[in-house]
Amino acid sequence: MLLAVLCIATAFHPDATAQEPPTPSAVDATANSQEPDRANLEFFESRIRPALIEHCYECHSGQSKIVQGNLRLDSKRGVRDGGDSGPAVVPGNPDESLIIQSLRYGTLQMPPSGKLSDTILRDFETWVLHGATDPRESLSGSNEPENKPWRDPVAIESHWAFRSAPRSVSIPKTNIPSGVPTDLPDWYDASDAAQSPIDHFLRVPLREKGWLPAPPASPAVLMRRATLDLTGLVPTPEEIEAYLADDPDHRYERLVDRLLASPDYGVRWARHWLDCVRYADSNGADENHDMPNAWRYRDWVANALNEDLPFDQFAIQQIAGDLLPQPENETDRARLITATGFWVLGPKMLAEQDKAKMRIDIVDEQIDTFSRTMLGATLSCARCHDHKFDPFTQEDYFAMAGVLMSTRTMADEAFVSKWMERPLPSHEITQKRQSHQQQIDAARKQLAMLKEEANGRLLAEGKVEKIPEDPKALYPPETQKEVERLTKEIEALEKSMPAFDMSMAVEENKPTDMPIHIRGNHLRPGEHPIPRGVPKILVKANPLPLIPSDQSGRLQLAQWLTHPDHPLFARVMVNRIWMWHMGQGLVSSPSNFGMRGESPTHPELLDWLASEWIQRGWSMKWLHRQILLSSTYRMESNRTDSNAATYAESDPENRLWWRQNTKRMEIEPLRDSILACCGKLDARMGGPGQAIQSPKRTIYLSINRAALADMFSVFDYVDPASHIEQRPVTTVPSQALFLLNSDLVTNSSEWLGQKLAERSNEDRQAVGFAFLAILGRSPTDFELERSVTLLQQSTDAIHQESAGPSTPPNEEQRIQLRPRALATLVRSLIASREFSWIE
Amino acid sequence: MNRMNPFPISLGSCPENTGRRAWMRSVTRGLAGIALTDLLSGSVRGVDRDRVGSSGVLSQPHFPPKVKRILFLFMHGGPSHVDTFDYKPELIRLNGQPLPIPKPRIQFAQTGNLLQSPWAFKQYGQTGTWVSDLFPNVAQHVDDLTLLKSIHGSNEAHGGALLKIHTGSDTFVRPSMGAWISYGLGTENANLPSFITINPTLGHGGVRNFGSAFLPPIHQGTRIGGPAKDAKIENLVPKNSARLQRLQLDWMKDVDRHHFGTHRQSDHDQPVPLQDSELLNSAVTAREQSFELAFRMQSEALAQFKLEDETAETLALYGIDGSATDNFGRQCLLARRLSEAGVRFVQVSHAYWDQHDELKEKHAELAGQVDKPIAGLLTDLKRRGLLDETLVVWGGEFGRTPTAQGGNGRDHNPHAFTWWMAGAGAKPGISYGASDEFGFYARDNKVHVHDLHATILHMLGIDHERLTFRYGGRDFRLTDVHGSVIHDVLA
Repeated sequence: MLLAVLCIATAFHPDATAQEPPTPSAVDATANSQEPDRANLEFFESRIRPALIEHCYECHSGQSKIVQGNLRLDSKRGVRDGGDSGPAVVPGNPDESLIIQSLRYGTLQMPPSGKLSDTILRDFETWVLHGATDPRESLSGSNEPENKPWRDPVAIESHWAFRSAPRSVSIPKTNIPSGVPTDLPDWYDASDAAQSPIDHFLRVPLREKGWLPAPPASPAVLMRRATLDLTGLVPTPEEIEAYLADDPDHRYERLVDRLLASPDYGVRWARHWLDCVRYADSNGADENHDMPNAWRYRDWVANALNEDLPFDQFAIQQIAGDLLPQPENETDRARLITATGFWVLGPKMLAEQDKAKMRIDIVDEQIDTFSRTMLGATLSCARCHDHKFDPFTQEDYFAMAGVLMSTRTMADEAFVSKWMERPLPSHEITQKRQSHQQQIDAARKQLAMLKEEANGRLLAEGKVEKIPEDPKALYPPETQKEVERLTKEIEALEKSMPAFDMSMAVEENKPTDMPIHIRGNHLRPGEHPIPRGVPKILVKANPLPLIPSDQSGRLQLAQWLTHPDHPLFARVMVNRIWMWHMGQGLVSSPSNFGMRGESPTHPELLDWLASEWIQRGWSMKWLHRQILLSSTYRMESNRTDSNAATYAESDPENRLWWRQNTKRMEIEPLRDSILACCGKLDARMGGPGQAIQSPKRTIYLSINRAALADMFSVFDYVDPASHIEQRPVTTVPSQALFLLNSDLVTNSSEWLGQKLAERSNEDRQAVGFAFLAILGRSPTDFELERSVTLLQQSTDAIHQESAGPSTPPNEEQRIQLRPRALATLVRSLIASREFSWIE
Repeated sequence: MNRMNPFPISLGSCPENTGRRAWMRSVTRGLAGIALTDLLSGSVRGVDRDRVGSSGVLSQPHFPPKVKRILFLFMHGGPSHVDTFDYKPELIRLNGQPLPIPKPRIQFAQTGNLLQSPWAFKQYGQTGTWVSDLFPNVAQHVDDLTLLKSIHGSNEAHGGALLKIHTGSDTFVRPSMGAWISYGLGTENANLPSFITINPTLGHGGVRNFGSAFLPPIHQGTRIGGPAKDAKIENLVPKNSARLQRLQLDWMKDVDRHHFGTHRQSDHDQPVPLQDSELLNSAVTAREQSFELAFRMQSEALAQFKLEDETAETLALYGIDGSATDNFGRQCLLARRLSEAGVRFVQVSHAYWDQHDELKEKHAELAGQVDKPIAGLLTDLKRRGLLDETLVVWGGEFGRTPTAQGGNGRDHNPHAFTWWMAGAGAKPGISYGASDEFGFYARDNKVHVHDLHATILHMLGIDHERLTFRYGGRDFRLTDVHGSVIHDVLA
């Protein structure tokens, strides 16, 4: 619909009609080995070419602003290959030639501005009948079809991401080659160089350049980094003290294990996944209805991560949990249903009245989320045309669209349509419903008997000959009352029927193979249904299991995706997890592994991580541990040794990992940490979305797509309506305004200022407590002095706000004003760069 | 400011508007720009350097811009074109008769027979343009307006149509027009956001309508929420005195710099001063600057909210008098002040023109709220010389059917509707395009929403095909693969 209107709009556009007729493209008749018959050639030049130029080139030539229908009539090849609808001519057969059918104004009607004269039509018929002689050999003009790299089979074959990763990758040896500087600084500990195989992969190229990795971060910095990374919360002063007091031998390993076992881990890492799958608690789009059960999917993700559900299962359950063998345990069955919420969470145009368009738009949104998240591919580009850069054809797109069209996402297609929700199995509720139903049945039976008896009496007493439709009014008053009472009771019982918990979820629909939609337009379906499937380029190394004719293909899609030979899935996921830990991926375009995506900086490492991960049973926690225990992860981020400047100049983006990256906290850890270090966090987990004022962790705040709280968008969580591959990091004044003036920061700092004042009446000590509570460390001498000055200056400033400029506060007033002065310090610490940038 | 480009967009500005305008006029007249810039860069004329804007991605515009700023008056819900600016005598003649032409394949709801407008139309101005009795005040400006009577969109529901109007796409998440313009041209006043939307709807696409999608988030519209009397930017009102904030900012500057330059390796505790000032500049000072700007914004932006600084005559002009026009009058006046202060794209939204029934009562009420304020805005812009550099755009997400819904209403009609423009860039006093004799379908010189976008960008000096952003391996633009500039309406 959309495209159709646009095409017509453009075709009619006044601006386009005003264009000069384009000059004919270069004629290169000599290049043609078969000299066409001279008479035919003359006929073409005198009758056909001028008509094509005058009536067709506007929309069907290299000079066209948009080549309509992908059809070009300015070359022989264009005419013979044709456009979206097929070849324009069948030489010798006018009746079967689309161009003739169109000129005759049949199903297709061209040109759209009006039927051409019969003379012209006869000329074209003659031309086609005599073989459609056409000397125009070369295509020219601005719209020369792009030289798609994937048309070149060699380029496709050699693209790393479309080939399976090896099942095992050997770890490089890291004997220090001769190029390493001999004057190693005293902090450089060779034994520290490789704690994990990861380091071997990263340090070989580093050493080849003669570069040294950064020294390890200090224990306090590393402790804070790991804690924020794995749990999204700053460590408490107690945790820091315990860590620093612990036996240094393997304390870091113990810390990582503790953090991975904490339920906060699942809460933190669920948020990363929710970004990929465009999680929200309301529909957004046109009708912003609440999605009151979306949270069950959110909690499913957090639980799955905490339980270390193998990642292949994690994906399979989301794609086709409902199609797996159903477990005995009803909680497990419920989980498999809830997981498929993955498909349903997207924004939908619920009030779209062209329901066919709504259906295909929903499928499109699903393909987009699925392909970017799971495949690192932008498959939805192929809805309207073959992918411009990647070897994904429109057929590939509609093969996958068939799978999703065979899956039910919508419960109905009413004026404002409703998405699918499925009841969650519960023996308890089933029983309650049964006994409730028994009560209803009993009451109904009682009512029926009462009526039957009363009716019988009416007949017996001769009051009526035949029972009318509603005989109630004829009953004796007490019977009427009883009928009313029972009717009301039944209504009340029906209303109070115990409800099943509902989850957003899909189920199987009638299996359908879809035809290509010409230019993505659902009103122009192609002729042949495309068998349900996946992109052809991706089944070479890893075939798709056969899709039975009575199934959608979702299960086969899931099995195919998670097969160890799948070239993309494990690599894409490993890269994301690496990125979430390290600040940037080994592939810096995490959701585009295609031909236009970035190449991996360390391809062997990527493949080693992928293959090893699969070997280890797809354990997320294994992968986290590998990364966190590496020397690379533990490096200092604010590297300031004498080499740093040189390295930074040569590799400003740190692609060689000569230091750790600093990472700015996303809004979730930022808000959670402010609440936590000011003692205000409600640590309870799970449950429905909360209002913005809730002290629960930020992941539990309701995400309203149409009215996203400013706090989120200000800190770069801008759009919960589509896949987010990586949160951007901007530095804008609205963030500063939040840290200066928001209720959260104001209230938290006032609260903590008060507590600090109570805890110590000595400024230096209070400053020390404040630093420990917020930054997790003691102040340096400079910071201590500077902060004591701030406290004094703040006290004066606050005092003078009420007392006037010239009167310094006396001692008693100073004591009174201390909580507010300390609140200023707390606010400053929260706003400091160190607080929101993980070092 | 040292190098002068031929078509200055990101101009510095004098604190006083008259001075700034005089300066811009002289530059656009092609006087010795370089000498003038040098003069200004030396602050000889008291230029407040803080107010110099930051440039956008285009180091210079593609064409000489006719207009610097956009003021978009968005009528949410779909005002009826056949009852406002698109006069259809045929509706009077055939009132109550069936529509003699086919209805569209997809309709939002079923409609009945033709319904004549409840309002009389009169001719106004030198041009004799027809305007209904709903807009008697705006009608006085009709010779300054450019009416576009053949606009058509592609979505018959509010949500899709709003997204189409604002972002060019009702299918995908795309940056809004204001974000694209901010991205392209930057801001004229670095103390204020470059894209502000006053009282936007949070339904029907919500934030997406002023979002930046994949563009850097700095380009997203800053929302001024709530009724105009309490209009606000989130967290703008300082919770502490400026002096206390200043103390905080100074502490942060010292401590952040100190910390960044400290090498805290456990086995050598001595602070090592940072050698490379570049590192410090990139990482720390950007953040410092954002806090400094926020600090200044608190006063600058708040100052723009002080409508009481305006004269009683101006307030009256906008209908700020406690009557039905008060709220929208305040929004229009605030919009003018922000625009005048250099905000590139200001949108004002007014709701809710969705009269499936009670057309006569509700349209009269809504028009009564906006007619005087809009006319006041046009008068005010003109007398301040601002209409020479500002384009005012008025319109809704679609029009309404000439056929009746439920006897006294009209249904959505994306197939034909009318917008108007006024100010720099647009040819005044013309009507462009036409709908059919009933106003159901755009017929002559059809203008698609993409064409509108292309034309507005063109007026700003932007070639809509060349303002692109690479995302997910592809170059995106506001008009996607569509859009043609309507050259006939360019001034």
